[in-house]
Amino acid sequence: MRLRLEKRYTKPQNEQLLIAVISFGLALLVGSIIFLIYGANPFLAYGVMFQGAFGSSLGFTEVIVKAIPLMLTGLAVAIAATMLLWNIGCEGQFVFGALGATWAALYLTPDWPSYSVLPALIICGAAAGMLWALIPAILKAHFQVSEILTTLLLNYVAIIIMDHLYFGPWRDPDGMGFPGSALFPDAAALPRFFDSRIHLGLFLAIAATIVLHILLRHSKWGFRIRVIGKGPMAAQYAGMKVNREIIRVMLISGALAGLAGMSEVAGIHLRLQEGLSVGYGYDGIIVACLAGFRPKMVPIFALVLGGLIIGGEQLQSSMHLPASIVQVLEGALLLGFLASEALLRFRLRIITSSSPSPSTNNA
Amino acid sequence: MNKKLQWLLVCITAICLLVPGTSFSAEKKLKVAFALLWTIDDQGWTTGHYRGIEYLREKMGDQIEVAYTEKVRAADAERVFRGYAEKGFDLIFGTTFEHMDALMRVAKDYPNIRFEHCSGYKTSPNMGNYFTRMYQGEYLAGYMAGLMGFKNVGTVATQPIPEPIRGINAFTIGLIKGLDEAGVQYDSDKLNTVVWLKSWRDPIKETTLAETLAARKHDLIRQMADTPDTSKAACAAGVPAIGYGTDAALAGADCTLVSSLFNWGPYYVETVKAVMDGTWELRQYWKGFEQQGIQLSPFGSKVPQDVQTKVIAEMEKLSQGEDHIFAGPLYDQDGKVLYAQGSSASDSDLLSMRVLIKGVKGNIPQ
Repeated sequence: MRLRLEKRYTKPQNEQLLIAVISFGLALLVGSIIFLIYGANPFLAYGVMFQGAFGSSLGFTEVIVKAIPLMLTGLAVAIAATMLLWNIGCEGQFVFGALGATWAALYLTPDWPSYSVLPALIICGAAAGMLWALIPAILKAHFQVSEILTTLLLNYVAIIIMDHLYFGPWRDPDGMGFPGSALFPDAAALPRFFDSRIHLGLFLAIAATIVLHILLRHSKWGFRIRVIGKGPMAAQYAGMKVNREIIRVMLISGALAGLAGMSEVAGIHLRLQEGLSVGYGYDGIIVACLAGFRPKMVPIFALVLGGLIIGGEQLQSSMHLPASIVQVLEGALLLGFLASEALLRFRLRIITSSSPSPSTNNA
Repeated sequence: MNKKLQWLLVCITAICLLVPGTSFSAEKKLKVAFALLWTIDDQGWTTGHYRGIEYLREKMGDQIEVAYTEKVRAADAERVFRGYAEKGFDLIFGTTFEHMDALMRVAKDYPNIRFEHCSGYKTSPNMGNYFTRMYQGEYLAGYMAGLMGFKNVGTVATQPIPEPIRGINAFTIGLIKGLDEAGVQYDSDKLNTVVWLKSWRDPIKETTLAETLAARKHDLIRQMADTPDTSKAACAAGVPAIGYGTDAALAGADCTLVSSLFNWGPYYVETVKAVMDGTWELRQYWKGFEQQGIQLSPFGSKVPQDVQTKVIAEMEKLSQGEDHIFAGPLYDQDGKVLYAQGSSASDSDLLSMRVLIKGVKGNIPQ
């Protein structure tokens, strides 16, 4: 008896639903096993998580706060993936967005009229993210260097540059020598809404979702990049300028991640400091995958992941479970996604010696 | 398909709602919460605080309810503090520097809750701060090393900011005192060579730097990072080590001669009692051996008995509050006088220290 993977030629009707069910099912299962190992009742644990995330207005608004950067980085990954570009560098572009916004807040706009400060922050944040994405974009378009490697490695470079700035030239002169920039002036703080920490970034993220959805589904440009994603060679034959689109899409992706960094630093931290880069760029990959790389689904899964993170925190204070369970659940979600995608693309056949394979002559 | 997906989410939601949440006992106990930088088993900074929490529980566990949250970075700090405040906690600790601004913001919104911040410099009417004089322990470790005749120490330092700089200087002051007492000849330009991690913890880089220092024939390697990997690498290279923060010997670095330890427990007990009695008041707490804010680990087996006796005698003085570590004459690396005979560094000098003293080799990276 042997096992064999065979390619499926028909897609199941409700592919995305199945993927979501399998991913979440696997994550819940893995989580349950871990809870049992720690001697906790899984139902109780998931109940605590759910109550923590959605059971109070504080919890729920905080889920939305968490979802803001996840939406933006999720969109950044999704738009690039539409063209089969893997932007693993959202973390670095996020950091650069934060740097651009910090520079604008502390060094560019202090003397500007207050209504012009936030637009300057937004533009500088997006532009800085684009700048950091431009490097892998050019390398990919003109030198065929894998963007997976370049974007990933540039993350570390970006973080080192940020460290250097808040330990060195941008350190708060009144900070007793501690690391971190000066606090932003009031005009450079994103306005908050609903008596919570939900800030302007939410509306930027929603607007970005709508614009990207329309562009991808209802514009010629969107059609072009989807075609390039499906078959770059064919697109080239059809006269599409693939290199130009690579650069354009990477820049859009970088701008979105940059906006995420801007909205975190100007909406949450109000200064450049340690603890800014906590992996939203990488979490964006999970969000984009679960959303099937479709912009309109990104906000939903950003909320789900945000809920997981916020709810998971309650496991510690209420049930004394370790913090790292959340990361395990996140990992299980992504693994579940990859597994379910593979299962839908291939079928697992059990071949016994008595029933010869009908389709091929070897194995 | 979109509809179905939404339906699925609704189902998951419904199932979760059916499960009741946790309920708290009605008994009125003081509720104390801690936000921690990393996991409680990180063998460094957070383990130190967790030891303090365990001590607190041991002493007052029947009178208080204690909760903590791990892995609270700056991005999440405000939410965690607000969550505890909303749940009716009476005393909330932020145990690392990056909690400072978030704690300030939340403290402003909850004037009836007491907040305490570790290792920062901002306070508000209901938010105090606290730290320990770790440099005293570093001074004693240096003194021990000097008495044992080590005169080419390699230090794997962390971030180039006042706290580690102060510790490097204190260690070097102790080292010189020890060498002088032991009558050992030394080159005062390179007693203590410093290399920087530029991070609080980075096990891989710590190992690399410690191996490099060992290969350059330094006779003793001093760990300053949160993690014990500097000491472990030193032991593996056959060079004795000095640990920091938590006992490196317990983490497997058995060549460690001594470690200087954070000891937050007594402070936590004292603060909780003050809140219970209604005597809590705003203060900037900065204490060392005189309040058991720090400790020395047991000495390693290679430390001679007479050296141990001398170091313990010096520690007794510090326990009595006699801290003259940064008394003049002190010179900077170029030999210029920093503090003349008869003067000494004030606390505010110490808290903003950005100069290395004579005896240290290396500079402060910008």
